[in-house]
Amino acid sequence: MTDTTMTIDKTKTDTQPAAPTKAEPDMPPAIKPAAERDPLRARIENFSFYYSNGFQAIKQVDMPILDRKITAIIGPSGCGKSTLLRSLNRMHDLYPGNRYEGKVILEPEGENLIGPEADPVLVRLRVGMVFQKPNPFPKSIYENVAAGLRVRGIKKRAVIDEAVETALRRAAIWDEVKDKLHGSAYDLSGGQQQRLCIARGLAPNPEILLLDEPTSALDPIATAKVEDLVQELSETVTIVIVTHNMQQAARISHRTAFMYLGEAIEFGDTNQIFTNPKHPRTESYITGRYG
Amino acid sequence: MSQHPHFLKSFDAALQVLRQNFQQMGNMTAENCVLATSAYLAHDEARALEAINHDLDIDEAFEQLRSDCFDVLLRFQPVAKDLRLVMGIEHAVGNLERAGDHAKTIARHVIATPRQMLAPEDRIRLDEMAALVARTLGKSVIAMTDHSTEAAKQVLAADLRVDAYRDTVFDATIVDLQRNAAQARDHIGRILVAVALERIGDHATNIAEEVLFVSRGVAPGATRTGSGIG
Repeated sequence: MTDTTMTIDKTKTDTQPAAPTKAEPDMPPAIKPAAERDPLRARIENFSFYYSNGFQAIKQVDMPILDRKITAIIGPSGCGKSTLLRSLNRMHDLYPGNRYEGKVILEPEGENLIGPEADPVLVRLRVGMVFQKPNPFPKSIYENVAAGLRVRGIKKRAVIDEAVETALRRAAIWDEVKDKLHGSAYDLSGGQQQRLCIARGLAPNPEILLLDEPTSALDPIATAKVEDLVQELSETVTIVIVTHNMQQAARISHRTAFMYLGEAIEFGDTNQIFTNPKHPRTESYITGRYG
Repeated sequence: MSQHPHFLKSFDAALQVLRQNFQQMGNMTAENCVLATSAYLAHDEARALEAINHDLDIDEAFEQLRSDCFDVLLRFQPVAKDLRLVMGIEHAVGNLERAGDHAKTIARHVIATPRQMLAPEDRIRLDEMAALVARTLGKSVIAMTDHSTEAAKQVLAADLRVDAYRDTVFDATIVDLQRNAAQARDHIGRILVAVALERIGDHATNIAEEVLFVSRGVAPGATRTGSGIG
């Protein structure tokens, strides 16, 4: 079981993230407030995460997740970016002793996804996840996509058929698999398998889709297809992507967060982060410098 | 520049080559401004030809540096200050190349026209103006290679003095034209040289604005004020 020290706070309705506290003297705020024109899909507030051995992997992170935008999280290995991503859909609950602090508020309902009353299974239907390596189930293409729907309790064949086709179309793989829906997912190429996994994540119609280095195992052509797909999807679903590929973050994301040693050092428009970062540590990291 | 080195040593080496070649092109251009103006003042056709030939070297350096910039962009995909430096140099070399063209214009004027009569004060004024413009151009190049916003601001401030020289030459020429229209060709030649030098000063200003962009990440236009000092 996962402990959480937070309770629901539905009285808080402001859409601005908490004031930054970790800025160095004369440094700009670590976290910039979202522009008013960009509605929020989620707010990460004063969020910390501890592994079962007591190690604090995330330290009081504040971060707005903008609705139907792509937010990229970058940072060196071990900085906590994947840990943060997996916190957003309660993946850490699968291991006992892990502990969250703070809030992950899903807007506009104001529901705290890591609150004790939030059902992790239902959270994962609302916040889908695609992993680094394509991991289709050892089932047919159809059943891979239908799996999430069945978890949701949908049993009508016609409804599932329609949802499977919609998800495969949204994942830009329908034309490639429509004639072999009942063939094994393992017969697909790596790039196709990854798009199938995206379709599987999309099938329950999530509000947020999390992508954890989704192209690191793919060749450039498959990577390009996934990147195009992610950008198209951002018109209808909020996306958070963790990537080590900074060119990819620069290409596809609207906002970028730089993490270091469990802290969110800087968050801002992707163009600003990659052309004129405010924090020296961000600059050093993205330019590939010591220091 | 006090930035830490890159993990990738070849990236630092490529940027260093870019800076060195840019500095070399800047020196060539500044020297050619002085050479062309001295050719004009002395009506020395051999020196003017030398300046025209030097412009070919400047053009060649321009092509090489642009190619080097593309190469760095392609190989290292720079971001942040590195990206701004490469883009800044890429823009600045265009300004140096145009500055070189203005020096060539002065040199061509020497060859295209007979010896011109110049009053001693005009000679001194143009000589001083050429020296100031060459110094300013050289300083703009150093500002870029050293990331010196202080030097860039000095370049922007110097542009007012360059403009003042041009205005003085212009006013004196108007008076001379009224007094002695028979020597109109000489008088107009003087204006052509002053305007060419003033344009070279403008290119130094453009480079200084690029330096501010490289250093601050603010678009050059945002640093412009009425006085020209950002």
